Amino acid sequence: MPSGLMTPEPAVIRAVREVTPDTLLFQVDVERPAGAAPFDYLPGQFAELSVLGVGECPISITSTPTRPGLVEFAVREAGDVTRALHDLVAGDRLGLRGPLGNGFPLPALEGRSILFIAGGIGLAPLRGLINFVLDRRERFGAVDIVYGARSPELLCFDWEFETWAAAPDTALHLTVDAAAPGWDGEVGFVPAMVRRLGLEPADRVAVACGPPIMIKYVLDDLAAAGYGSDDVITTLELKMKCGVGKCGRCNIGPRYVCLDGPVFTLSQLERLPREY
Amino acid sequence: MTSMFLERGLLEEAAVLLARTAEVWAPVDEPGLDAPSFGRPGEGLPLAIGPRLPLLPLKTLFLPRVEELFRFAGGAEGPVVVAADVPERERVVLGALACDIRSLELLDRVLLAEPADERYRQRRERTTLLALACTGESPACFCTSLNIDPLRPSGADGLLSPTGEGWLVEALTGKGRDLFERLEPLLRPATAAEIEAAGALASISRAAVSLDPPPGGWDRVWELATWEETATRCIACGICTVLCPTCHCFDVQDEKRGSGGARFRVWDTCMSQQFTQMAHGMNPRPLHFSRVRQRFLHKLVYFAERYGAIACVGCGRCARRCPNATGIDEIAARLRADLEEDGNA
Repeated sequence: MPSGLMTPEPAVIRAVREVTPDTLLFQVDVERPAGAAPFDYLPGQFAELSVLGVGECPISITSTPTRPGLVEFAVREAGDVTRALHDLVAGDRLGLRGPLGNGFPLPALEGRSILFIAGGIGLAPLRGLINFVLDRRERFGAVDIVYGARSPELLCFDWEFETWAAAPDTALHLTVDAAAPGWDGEVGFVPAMVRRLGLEPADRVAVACGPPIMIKYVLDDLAAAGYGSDDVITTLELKMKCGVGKCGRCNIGPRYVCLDGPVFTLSQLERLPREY
Repeated sequence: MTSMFLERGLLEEAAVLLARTAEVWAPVDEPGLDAPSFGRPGEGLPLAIGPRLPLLPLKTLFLPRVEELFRFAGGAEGPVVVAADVPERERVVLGALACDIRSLELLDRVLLAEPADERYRQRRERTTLLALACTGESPACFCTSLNIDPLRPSGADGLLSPTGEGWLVEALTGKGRDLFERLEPLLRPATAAEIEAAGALASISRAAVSLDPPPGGWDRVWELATWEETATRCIACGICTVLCPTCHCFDVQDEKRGSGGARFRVWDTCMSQQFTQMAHGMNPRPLHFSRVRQRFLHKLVYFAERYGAIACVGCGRCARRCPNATGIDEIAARLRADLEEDGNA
């Protein structure tokens, strides 16, 4: 990281792509001076993105380090900073601090089958890991991806679906909350689809990210289905400012989401107060 | 080494002498305020070197209330960062008390943990702390219950022990020795009587307070109904977090000035609903009592678990200045009692 813990480095937006009507994908060139360490990251890490004069907010990295080059962030418009980010176009600069946070426990996932469970924009942090796993396909077992959104146009990253479904030993299970014109796929909530699939724990690890209500049901269901709490992984979102464990904002009990997370196993969460 | 003595009448002169090579800070009395504040000696306000706690704690000098992190200026492709870290001058703090000095050691655990907060680190390294042996202000403070020795504060570079018509001075670190070398023209050897009197100094008897968990531990404390019951009198003004020497939470905001501006950090409070309110609407601590719980459990449990000590120095500022007179000592006692009752039920 450049000098100054709280000082962003400049990064150039090379392309902007619509993910859903309220979410844009920014492909960013993290240009560092010659001799500086490259922007090395793990799937599941995040960065603080700045629009100088407006502010800064934490956004998960949605690209995979197995595909060097541009770093990708999916930004849903929700407040002042994300609104200002949405006003940026290819060629503009944004400020960036990162990578921050722990990322997914890759060594613990190697050799295991993986059940990805995502809802809405919750696919953003998982997409980096999914593509990482598919790029290193031989190191992992079977892959199931259960993904849902409120409606078909809110499904993120639909351009990935074909590739994912066609990958070896990989199944993609899509659903939307309610029937919609032009949608001939499954209808229903994500937790219900996970239950219906009945994927046995066996050697499987579940990795889930989505809105709190979805996570609550999914975690309970996985526990009931016999998944050990070390084999259920989720990635959390809380309000952050510094991103480096100083500003005291993103704690859950004694843990900081910015330093100790955002990725946690269910067994870690079970020891913390229910404030996430 | 010969013990040295600084006579009371030479104190202002000592501050002036130190100010030749360093930025000097000390408690001063401002008209109209019932407690001293940290200020610059020689700017017209009388020094208040004594056992009276400054209203705002020592953290103000290390994690300022508002601090510019960097500036930015408009450029062809949008604003760019034009200035970041500003090195600080060497500083001396005169007359800091043991409770406040201990708080810096607790703040170090947060702000110096990797990745270290560079601005805080620079201030810590460039500051020499000359403590005043504290003989006690009021029974509302309870530093001794937290294993703090008010007469010989750990973490200080030098010590002033009040005796007779001045202070016995003692260097505790290399930084302290350097400082007393600069003060040498104003010091004289202490008399045997002065040394004896300083050794016999006693602090006024302080309240015996326990912030420790009950025998069964704090395990079930989060679920207690105590939080909803005690939070009703809290008006969420946040003054406890402003005055607490160990509270360090800050917000980061941008301020525009024309096409440029600055990013700054500013003290924040976990008592505010905004503190954890996310842009898309979710808030992990949506209820008032959940924020009261966060504040006290952060001090008593979370900080202790993460950083190995209770985040309280027994200064009593929270209890004395809270509009509803709620102190951490009272809350801890209530929690212990309710947990024991709960366990016996």
